[in-house]
Amino acid sequence: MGKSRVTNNIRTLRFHHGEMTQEQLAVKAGVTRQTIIAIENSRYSPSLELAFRIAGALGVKLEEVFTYHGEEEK
Amino acid sequence: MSYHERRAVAMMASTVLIFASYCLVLYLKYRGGDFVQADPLRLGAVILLLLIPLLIVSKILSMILFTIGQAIAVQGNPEIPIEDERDKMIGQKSAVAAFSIFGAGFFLAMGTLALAWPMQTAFYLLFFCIFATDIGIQIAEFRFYRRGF
Repeated sequence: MGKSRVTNNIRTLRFHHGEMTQEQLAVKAGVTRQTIIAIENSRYSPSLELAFRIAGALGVKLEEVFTYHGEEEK
Repeated sequence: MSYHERRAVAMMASTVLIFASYCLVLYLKYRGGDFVQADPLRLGAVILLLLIPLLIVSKILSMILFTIGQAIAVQGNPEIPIEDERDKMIGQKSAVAAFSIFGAGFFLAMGTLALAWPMQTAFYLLFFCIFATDIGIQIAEFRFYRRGF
């Protein structure tokens, strides 16, 4: 499984959000810490619902967390 | 190792143990060549039909034992195994791998029958294919959890 075309700023946003740990974000988003790690490393692209939950947990808009590198880069 | 990786390893070990025990029982019962002498179609069907409930019951017992062992091992620091969307996706991808293994095994077994090979060859293949499917789903799950997805 290669890297996803969806990148994210979760690590940076966690840092700016009172150095929130992966575990704390996982609890707030209702997933496991392993899922947060997989998303942070762009191994797994979350569903739209989970993406909104993560953005909500970090207190920012969805587009500030995730960026899609798709057709426009070709 | 995460909870899911440990669970996959435990289930793999239980599968090997169950199949080894079942093979041993069958070997002791039919080592005199009774399998060939008796009606191989009926005997093969009975062996495969008995395997399915045996696998279900032993999997439930293995899961109970694993949960107890896990609770004892992480006393004071309990890891609550919640299932999220990634777990469900991994489950689905592992199931696809397992279906592919079973499909290939079934195809091969039917192939032996089409080529008029002995009946027991098809049953051996089906038996092995059930084992490979069970192991395959655990290996796939372990691999997906190991690399993240």
